[in-house]
Amino acid sequence: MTGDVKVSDTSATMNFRRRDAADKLSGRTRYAIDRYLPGMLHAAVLRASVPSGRIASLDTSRAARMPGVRAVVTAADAPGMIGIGIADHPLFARDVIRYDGEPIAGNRGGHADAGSRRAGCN
Amino acid sequence: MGLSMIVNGERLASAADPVMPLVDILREEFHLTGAKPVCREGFCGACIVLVDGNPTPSCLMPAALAQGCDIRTVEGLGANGGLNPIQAALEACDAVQCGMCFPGMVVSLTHLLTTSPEATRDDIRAALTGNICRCTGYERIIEAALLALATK
Repeated sequence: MTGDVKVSDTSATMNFRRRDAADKLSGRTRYAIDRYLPGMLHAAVLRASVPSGRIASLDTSRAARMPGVRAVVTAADAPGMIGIGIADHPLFARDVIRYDGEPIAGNRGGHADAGSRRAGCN
Repeated sequence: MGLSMIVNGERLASAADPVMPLVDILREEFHLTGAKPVCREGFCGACIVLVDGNPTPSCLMPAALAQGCDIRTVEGLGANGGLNPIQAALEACDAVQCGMCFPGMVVSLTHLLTTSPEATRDDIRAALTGNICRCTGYERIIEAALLALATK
């Protein structure tokens, strides 16, 4: 480096240790997948299988009737926008599909198997 | 018929279905949630534990096959709740990002360190073929393994 280079914000140059690393390395960190609560339900998400499209209709009645399923949720149940930092997208696809894999609906079952049986919507 | 196995040095019993994957017994019965059932197909490596000293994807191992085995999970690698040499090196090399893969990464690398103290960069890469990191931080992980080998 030549001449006087000054970085005004020292925090940008300080070499901080990652404070969550030791817990993650020793299996102590509790991720969402690691939490078990009494009466906890499991969810499965139905995702778009096309990169773009218009949702003409969404029939969740068959999924709702599946054994063990307590609820089926769609964009109608999740108004507003969400996002990390910037809330710029809906939780579930609303009217249009914007990318392959976009969540369309979710169901909540009492048991992990009930939820993972392909969310079962038409 | 109950199952019995030694987990992190402690003899534990389970009444689980013999075909239940070992990872589910570890997590749901023994409350050792370090190992992660991410793919449940044996290719991601986040659930790898040592079974009689060998790195094994615990999602593919029916509980009955763990009968009488010595199991060591990520929680049981460091002495007195501390970090073992590879865990310490991974922390020092700032290799940790989201951390989901590390319970398996650390187990695979701990095995490599104890069985192949002369391991090369290629050996490390080979040892990690069964551990997928989606943050794609492999280089720092390999650097950390080299550091741990060098300072051993």
